[in-house]
Amino acid sequence: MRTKPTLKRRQFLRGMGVTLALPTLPSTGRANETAETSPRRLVCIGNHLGYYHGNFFPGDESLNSPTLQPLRPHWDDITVFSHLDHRLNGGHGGVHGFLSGIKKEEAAGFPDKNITVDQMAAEYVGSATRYSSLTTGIDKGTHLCWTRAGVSIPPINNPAKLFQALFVESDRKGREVERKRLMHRSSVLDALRESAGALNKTLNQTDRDKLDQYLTSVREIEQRLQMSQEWLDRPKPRATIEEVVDEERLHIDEIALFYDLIALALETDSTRVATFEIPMGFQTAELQLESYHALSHHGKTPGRIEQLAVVESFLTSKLNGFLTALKNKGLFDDTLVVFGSGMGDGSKHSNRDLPVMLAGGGLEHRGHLICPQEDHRRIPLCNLFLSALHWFGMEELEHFGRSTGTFAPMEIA
Amino acid sequence: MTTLPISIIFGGFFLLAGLASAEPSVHAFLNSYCTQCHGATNHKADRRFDTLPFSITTWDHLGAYQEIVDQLNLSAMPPDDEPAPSEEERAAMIEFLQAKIAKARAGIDDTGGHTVLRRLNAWEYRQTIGDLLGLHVDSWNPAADFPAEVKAHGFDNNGARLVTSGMLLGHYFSAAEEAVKRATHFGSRPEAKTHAQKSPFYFEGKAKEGLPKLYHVDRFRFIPETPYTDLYGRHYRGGHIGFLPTARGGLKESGQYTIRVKAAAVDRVHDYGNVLGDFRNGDPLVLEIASVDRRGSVESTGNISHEVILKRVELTTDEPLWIEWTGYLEKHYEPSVRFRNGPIAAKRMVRLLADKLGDRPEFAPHVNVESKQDRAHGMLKAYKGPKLRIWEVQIEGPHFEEWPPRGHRTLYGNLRESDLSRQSIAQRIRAFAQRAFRRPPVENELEPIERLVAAKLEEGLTHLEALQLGLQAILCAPGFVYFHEAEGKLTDYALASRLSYFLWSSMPDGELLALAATGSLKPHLLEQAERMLADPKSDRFVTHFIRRWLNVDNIGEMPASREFLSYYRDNLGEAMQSETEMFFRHILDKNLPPREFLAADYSFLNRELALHYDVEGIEGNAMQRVAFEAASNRGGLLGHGLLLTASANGVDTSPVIRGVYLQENLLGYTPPPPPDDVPEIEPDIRGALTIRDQLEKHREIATCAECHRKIDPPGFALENYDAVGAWRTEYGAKMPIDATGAMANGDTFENPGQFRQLMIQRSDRFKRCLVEKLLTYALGRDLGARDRDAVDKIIATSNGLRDLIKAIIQSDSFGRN
Repeated sequence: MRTKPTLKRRQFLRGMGVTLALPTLPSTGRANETAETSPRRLVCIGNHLGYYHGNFFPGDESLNSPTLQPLRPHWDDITVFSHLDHRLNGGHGGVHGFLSGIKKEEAAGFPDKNITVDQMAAEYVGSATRYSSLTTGIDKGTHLCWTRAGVSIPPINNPAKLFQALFVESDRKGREVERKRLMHRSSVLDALRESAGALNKTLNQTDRDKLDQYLTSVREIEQRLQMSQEWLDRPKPRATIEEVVDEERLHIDEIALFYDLIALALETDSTRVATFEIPMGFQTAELQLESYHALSHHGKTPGRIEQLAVVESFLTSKLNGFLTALKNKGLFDDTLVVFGSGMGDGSKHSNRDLPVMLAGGGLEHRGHLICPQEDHRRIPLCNLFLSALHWFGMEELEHFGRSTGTFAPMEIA
Repeated sequence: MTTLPISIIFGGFFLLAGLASAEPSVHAFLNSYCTQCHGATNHKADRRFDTLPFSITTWDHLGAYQEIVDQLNLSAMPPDDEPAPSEEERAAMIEFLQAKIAKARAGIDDTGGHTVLRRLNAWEYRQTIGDLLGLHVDSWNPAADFPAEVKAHGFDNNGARLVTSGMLLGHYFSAAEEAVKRATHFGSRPEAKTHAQKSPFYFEGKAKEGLPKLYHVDRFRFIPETPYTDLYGRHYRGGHIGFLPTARGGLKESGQYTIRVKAAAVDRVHDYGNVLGDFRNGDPLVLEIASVDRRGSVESTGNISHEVILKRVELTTDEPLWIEWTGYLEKHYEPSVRFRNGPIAAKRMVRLLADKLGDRPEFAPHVNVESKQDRAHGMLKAYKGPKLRIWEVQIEGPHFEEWPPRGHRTLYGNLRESDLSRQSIAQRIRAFAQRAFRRPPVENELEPIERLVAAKLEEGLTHLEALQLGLQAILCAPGFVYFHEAEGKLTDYALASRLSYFLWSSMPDGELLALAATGSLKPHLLEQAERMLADPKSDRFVTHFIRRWLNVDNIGEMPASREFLSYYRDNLGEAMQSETEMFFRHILDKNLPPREFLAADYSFLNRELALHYDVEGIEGNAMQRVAFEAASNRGGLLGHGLLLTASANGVDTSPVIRGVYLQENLLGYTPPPPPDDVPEIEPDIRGALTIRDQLEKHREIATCAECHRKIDPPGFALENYDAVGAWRTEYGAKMPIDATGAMANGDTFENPGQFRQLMIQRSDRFKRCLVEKLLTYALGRDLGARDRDAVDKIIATSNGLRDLIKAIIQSDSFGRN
């Protein structure tokens, strides 16, 4: 039995026109997942520079395109969507809207700011897993993940740190120190709340509304402390791979390593939501190619497009490895993988017609699903994300980002 | 961008336009062409415009109007089979609605002259922690992990827009804990010592166990039996040396140190052709001294988790010289010496020399030697190319100006650890809060923290632990994190803070607070401003204001492509930033008018940047004033590498992007955003079309032409500068660059030089733009209609940059909230 989500409080507040950022509350979490149900999981993967359309999108409804070749073993379990986007522009400055549909500059105008689909799902999971989400990526990533407060979550970019977080127990003494710190921190939070209350009395209404962000942050930390305390004494799962040590690695090796670690994190139920981001600074020199950003500005020159094809096939071949790992671990049908980019065409800096792919999730997959192209029949990408969130368990969610409804062309939830 | 410029700059213009043609009726237009389908009976595509109010007060309405403009722009609506407006009608409506939208947008953003409760941004937080606790935040950045700040029109100190999140508060906790720890020094003054290490710089045998490879002898470095060590390349292996005395765990104490290196430049001129990569034959050899933190690295790599570049020196002779640096070093860091502009990595160099020049008599005997080590060492010994030769490295310290350091006394006064008692720590909490809050606490603001400390003592914490917890709480409290500006006329304390964060990016010092405490700051405002601008802390204003004004972050987000080799080899990014900062500083110190930013025929360059600009004859790594010849392609901000790089994307340039950048940042005009649905220009660099040809097509669409007529020309004028500001006369595919154009008013230019003259003619607009930017930065909010008088007055009464800043400080907008 999937437990019913209880999102009423948030919806109620939204109805009242209250736009303050609500923290993750235990009540929105799904803490009591029964043992026999397999939880649903969401993985979102984004890169900064998109995929060259000519190689990515198949010419027909099959998945037969150069960039999708490496994924051939999974063609029955993948849908690639044409003509989906968020109607954003701004080129590089529009990419970070991929998973939210909303640019940070306009986030203030939306009740949930520019929260991304993964963080919506993470809120829903709450403290049911040790980490409500794992955000990972190469270097500084590409601003893929955003919270309800409109803040970008930087990716964990060191595989060794991720390994530690997942599998390495701190010793008893370390845990004791941590427990004390958490305890004191909770007393400090009480004092800060009171202090803010005193300051509040000296402010006008606009400033009070602003100080509310501080109070909300205090509450948010309190809940996180509670979650940390809950998990402090629960043992971490045993790692089934060799320890990932801290050393310099090539980006091309790091990508595979992160995918491995994400698969393990899902397998051990350390998290149910994970993201992975590939920045513009991905070192394509490691593939003996020109710089990634320069290649994306191919200006139609065949030489650069060829090199770009190598990079992009490399990325899909790593995805292939990840999907295979999910299948081998028996996770695939309960894991929905979103793969794509907020960049539609890097050469002309367009954020339209984004490359978007869904894999897994036990869906009836559709190969290449060509959505309407005409301006007035276009389907917002957020509709797809809304359906994905319904699939994830948040059936009562009515909106996400710029959604106008659920995704009609395909059965998802 | 501020919200003012459109109305100010084009105020007169719009008025004329308004008189010439009657204002179009939106209502009539919508009724004629739109509401058939999007009205009371039909609302196709979920849109109805019959209920759309004329005045825009919400984002929803604004969005609806924007969509109408977009559709009109594209001629996408009304559809072909419905009655359509004439081209003139369409154009008039677009222009009218765009102005209406811009005004509404400004109205929605307008906070009525009130800076909404402003939080220290990451930059200000960092400086404040540094000044408050006497910590060196150049080498330790307490805000390093803070989430990126939201920017409003480029500025990251806009109270209304800055976000406080749980993530940030979490970081406040860790930063406060670490800051208090770093500032606490109950122990006795550490003794200064001198460590010296003569070549060789490696360990052998047991001594090397557990140390990174940097300290192991290998075939590409550390040729034994010489009294010196040669560095061959800029890369880690063979290009860096570490320092043995601190190899395990780095320095034991933070403090002032002196580092000395005995070094020489050998064989700067070589005849190996392109085997040595991008090394510019004959260049001085750049010695770099850095301090690095290797903790957390592993033996195999010895990679660096943090580094601070301390000094770079150009060496030109093979006579050994002592290079000396004195400054602050952090605990756990260790000195590192590098060959900054060295050729390729030693390993690659040995291979290339063997492959390509192996038959030369000096190399031939070594090429086929069996032992890899002997072969490599033989090749390196025979090698007569650029080598940075190091004999000895010394480090001496730590020294302290005072003990315990200032920050310790800010936290603990003169108390020894044994003096801590319930009473004394209560006193410390109060004293510290007053300092950290930059004002006396308001009623009941501090009591909760005092109660916290008392309760923790009850729980059994030691006096020191309880006190430190209280100190940390103060650094996370809203009193520390937020400005307290209230409403109406600023109090002296609020004024001291506003002034101090404007000119120092940090808290007011003792003198300002003392004036505020006696209510006598206002009469001394100008002399305080003078004092503050003379203080080195005002460099933070120069640095950060430039960063925000010229959107320097863009360079960090889209760094120059690695294909621009010299950009990295020669540290051009850093040099460009110094150039613009020194230029700004110069204009500020000499109180020159804003026109100087455009008209100056000089700049501040070092040898590398000068070469990048095709200026010959400049020696040395230090930035120096350089006068340009009359025919030069440089002069004024328009020729600055920083501006030219920030307005590109690291790979190539776009006249549209550069055009918008100049309009927004130098001329104070924000072009309306492009309509959502206009297809982007698809660059084609195969050689058939230039960017100008491609844009020309775009401009054939009448509605696009209207904006691009204003945007593109300044961008085209700068097309002779590539994405890192180097001069070029053709694009990659041998397509010549055409930098001619006409400004919106019809003035034409043939080249960047003439364009610059036209910009100089527009110095008044530039001046207004600069004042608006400065005021926006000073206030921490968007400017609104109420600030217009203030801006007019500032411009009318002052001309020199320093006077303008003083006028801003005295303005009504600055003194009120």
